[in-house]
Amino acid sequence: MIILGISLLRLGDLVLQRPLIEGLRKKHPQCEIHMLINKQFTHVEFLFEGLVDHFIYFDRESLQKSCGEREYNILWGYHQLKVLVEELNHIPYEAVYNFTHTRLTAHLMGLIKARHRIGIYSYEGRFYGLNNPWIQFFNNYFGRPEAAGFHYTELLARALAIPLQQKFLKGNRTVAQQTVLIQGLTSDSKKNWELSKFQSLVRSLEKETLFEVKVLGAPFERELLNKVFADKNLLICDFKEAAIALQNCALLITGDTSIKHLGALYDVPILELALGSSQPLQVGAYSNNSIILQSRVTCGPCGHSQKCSQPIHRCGETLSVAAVYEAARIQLNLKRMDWENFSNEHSELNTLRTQIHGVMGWSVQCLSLTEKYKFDEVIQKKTMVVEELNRQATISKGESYERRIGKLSVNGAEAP
Amino acid sequence: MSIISFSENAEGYLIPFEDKKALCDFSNPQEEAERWVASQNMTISNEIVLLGLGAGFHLRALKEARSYLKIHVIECRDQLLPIYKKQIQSQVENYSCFHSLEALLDSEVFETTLIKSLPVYFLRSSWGAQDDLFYSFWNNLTGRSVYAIAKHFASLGIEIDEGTLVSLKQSERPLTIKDATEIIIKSESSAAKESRGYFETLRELLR
Repeated sequence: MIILGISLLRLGDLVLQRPLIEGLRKKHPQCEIHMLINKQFTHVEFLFEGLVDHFIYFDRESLQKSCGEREYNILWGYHQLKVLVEELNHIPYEAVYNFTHTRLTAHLMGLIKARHRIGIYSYEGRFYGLNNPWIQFFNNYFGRPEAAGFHYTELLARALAIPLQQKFLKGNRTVAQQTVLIQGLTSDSKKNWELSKFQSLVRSLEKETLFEVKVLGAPFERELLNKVFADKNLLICDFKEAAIALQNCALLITGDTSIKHLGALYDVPILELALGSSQPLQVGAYSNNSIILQSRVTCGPCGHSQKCSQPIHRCGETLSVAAVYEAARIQLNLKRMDWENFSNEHSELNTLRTQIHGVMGWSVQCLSLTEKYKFDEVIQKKTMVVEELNRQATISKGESYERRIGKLSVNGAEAP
Repeated sequence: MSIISFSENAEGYLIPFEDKKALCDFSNPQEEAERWVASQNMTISNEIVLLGLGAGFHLRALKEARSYLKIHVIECRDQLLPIYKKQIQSQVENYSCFHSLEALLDSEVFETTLIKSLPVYFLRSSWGAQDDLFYSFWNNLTGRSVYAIAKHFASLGIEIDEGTLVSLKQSERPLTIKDATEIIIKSESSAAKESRGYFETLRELLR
């Protein structure tokens, strides 16, 4: 039996989907798993060793160019896509899973022959596969306040009926964990904390602790990082090298990045600075004991694709170097102060901790007593929604996945 | 067709002019040609169309940088090939000269370009005073005209319905994949229904 998974969003989404692929492997131990991924992400295949048997590439960049650039024939993309689909249709797939739930993957999934289609797909302009209440919930609410408290990975697992078990990658810990890693840049400037603030943080950590501090960056970020950090503080590397560095670090300080999700896979202690459009209540680290500092500003979290609406980057300004430094010291067990006291001292921030319970699944706990009730409400609401959706799922059992028709939003259910 | 004149530059090359417009950089045509080649995305196909011979420095630079390419050169001015042969390269393969769009549309090179969906490249200065004619060549060779897309679709067994054709002809802008998708959606033919998912997938890449 051969199963195909389609995952055509961003790097972070692919990393977040690893536990799902692991669940799929567990559900079908004897089957062959193929994954259709964006061509530019071949460098993350190492994360799926032993889980995925074969990768197939979607050349999104070229296809996208062919739709807009002047030298391309208007039907060049059509011919390329046809070749890809024909290759896929030569493989007798038992099932195909849509891991990304966008219109793009829904249309693509409609072209692929398989006995079962799990997730949304289109046929003659109509969307099918929406009869599972969890898929409906994911499709309608993910990325919106209604889905607060539901982690992307967890929700997708329920939507696709894949068993999810928290199991961290072991990695190769070769040295004592004496390094603090900082991921200074994110893919969205709104989510960035000022590099000068990171610079002050690095100086404080180097001066006041025995930890070595390294700022992670991709090769294309070197020039920008070099303006602020000395070469000795930089760790310019690819994704696989970053994974190795993470396995041996004592703490990762990061914004909302794919490196955060990579760190979570290895159960690295994480201090997340949730700024701009970061949605820590839906795409925080899928791990235990990740601490999230979120500025309490009326404009945040802002919209995913919008520009910052404020004259100054308020959420970034509100988050002080002193607060991040103190939180890092607590995470590194260098300070005895507990999180409750920290939260009370820094009332300008939401101080949150991620947890994964056997029954409840993933949750975010507020560590400040004064704000705790708000987050308890999120957990209560989640419990009620879980009960209701499970009840609906029991009722609708037996209906074909492929019979229900529905609407799919323009962006589908993307991770914010 | 306007008159082509030639003027010698400091390096001794004869540079063609059309209505006082030089068909390449007068003082350093080779550097301009190399810069142009470096800026082109040549990963699309090993067979391409070069629209506009002009002074030909860009064709030579392209052949030197990408010797594996099969290049179809399309021109509309007869006077340019002899000077190219004399001062740059005596042998020219796959060269065609069309004085009108109709002549291009009747040609074998047009058929080949459409069937193989060949990419079309050009150095804008080589078009000289023939911007409109070359633009219409580009529009058709890349499948962006109503005529070309209808021909494309006919080869796939898809007919464009009359109403759609009329509304498309009213607009003079080059067609996009969005227009192609709309044609497919409106078409009643079974071939269009089979192709619909492909076009809808591509359309999503534009969002």
